[in-house]
Amino acid sequence: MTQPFLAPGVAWALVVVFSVLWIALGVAWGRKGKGDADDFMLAGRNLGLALSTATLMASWVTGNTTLLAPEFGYRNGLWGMFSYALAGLGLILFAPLSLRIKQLMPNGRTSGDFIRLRFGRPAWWVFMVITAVYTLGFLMTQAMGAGILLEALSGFDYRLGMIVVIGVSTIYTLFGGMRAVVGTDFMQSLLIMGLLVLVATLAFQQFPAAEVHQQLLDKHPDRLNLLLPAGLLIAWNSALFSMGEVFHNNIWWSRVFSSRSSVVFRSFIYGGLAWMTVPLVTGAIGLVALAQGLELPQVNMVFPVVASQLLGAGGAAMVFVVVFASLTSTLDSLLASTADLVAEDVVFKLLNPDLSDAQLRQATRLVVIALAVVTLALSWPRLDSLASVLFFTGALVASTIWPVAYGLYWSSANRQAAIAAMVSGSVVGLGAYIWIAPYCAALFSAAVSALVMALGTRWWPESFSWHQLQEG
Amino acid sequence: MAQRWQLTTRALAVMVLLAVVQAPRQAMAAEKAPVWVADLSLFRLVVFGSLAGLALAVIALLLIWYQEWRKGDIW
Repeated sequence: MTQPFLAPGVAWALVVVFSVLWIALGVAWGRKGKGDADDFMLAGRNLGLALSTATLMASWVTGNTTLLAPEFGYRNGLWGMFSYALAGLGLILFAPLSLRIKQLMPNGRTSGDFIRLRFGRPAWWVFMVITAVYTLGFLMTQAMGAGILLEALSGFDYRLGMIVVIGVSTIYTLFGGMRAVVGTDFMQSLLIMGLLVLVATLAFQQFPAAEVHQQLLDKHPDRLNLLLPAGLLIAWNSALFSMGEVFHNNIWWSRVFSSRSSVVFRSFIYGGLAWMTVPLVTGAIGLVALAQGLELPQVNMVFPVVASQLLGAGGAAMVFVVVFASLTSTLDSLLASTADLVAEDVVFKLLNPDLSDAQLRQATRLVVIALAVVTLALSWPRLDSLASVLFFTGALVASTIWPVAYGLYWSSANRQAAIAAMVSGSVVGLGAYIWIAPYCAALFSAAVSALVMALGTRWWPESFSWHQLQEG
Repeated sequence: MAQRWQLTTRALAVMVLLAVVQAPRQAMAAEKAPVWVADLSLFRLVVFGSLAGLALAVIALLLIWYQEWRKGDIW
């Protein structure tokens, strides 16, 4: 094993300080609400612009954004950075839909509620399978990422690192619900963005942009090429993949239901724009490493290597905090919103509609614990090909973009077409993933799904009454 | 005549399918593709523009929070 970037004692001190802080704040914020299930799941449905924007931003900054984006910059240059940054389009394009959701479903709780009421139970089953595969894949990549990253950064045992990150996120989500998640997300997003600005500024002070550019021009001019065809393809696949992730997943729907109507549109726009700067900045750090010819033990360790070599132990500590905050902010959101989805859609609406409010709240808590245990169990055997696990799900989630968009805007959208669009889009997307290239999966899936949805609705239009969504 | 049309349509369909399947692979082999290398000013714009954007996002978020906190509108 290579030498860790940070002394284990310092790493442990940082983990203890931030874990205690997140848990204490999470529990305190959780006590603010009315104490009912709606408050636990959706933080009282009254989030302002600051918290709403910050929670979107923090949830979308995953461990990948801070470590994979520099790798994209290092490997693919400017187009690598742009392609990763285009994933922010998912949030920006969801902004008008978020407003529409607030209008149509003032009492809604989950994305599953919408699919069930709009397209019926059979479509809901297909949707739930897609969302379950994606969410488990996402949870596993974050959990494994936590273990691998903490091991590489500080020498922690893989499983210990994983248990620490999942444990901390689970504890404050369990006690504080969505209020704890949103409140800590605000602190975490400020920490991530502030430290990234600091690290990047110091890095470019030590190694000016003109020198980086000259070195790249001399040694790697392809990294500065703005007409890279493969880059264009990867970029649009990235945009469509992110649209699929955001349009279907309950992380983002729960943020819509949690926020005030007056701020929801702006929060998605601001959150998306702010997020786009993160992979550009971290990708630029990857270019610094390339221009300087730094030796890398693993290419996904570009960011820690640059920070520790240019800025010493302080730089490594800053990267550790950024990565820890990124992982906890994404895991808490995944745990909370997936628990909401399972408790509301499966336990309450499907299995036991007679549940009292207190029982629903208790069920949500139990699902949080169950999800944490399942994630730990699935991530226990270490897999190193995390990116391929996530790219695989791109084929599935991109197939939901058009059924969701049609369902929100066209009263004529056909129910069977929605099912056919999700199934055919997923199948064709997976075929493209296997037989063509992983980065084509979302493109093919979204294209086929769009075609099926459009033709099905045109040939067999339905007449949906929007007020049916009010009960959600 | 109709058969010839059918054959032509099939041939076209196969060609379109092949083109769609081959396109990403051809894109990967970008040796003959046109090149536009970003000059220093553009490179600076990307690097410092994104850095300034990120710094601005931190300040904007804090200002919005402060305003909402004063009005009691955070939650």
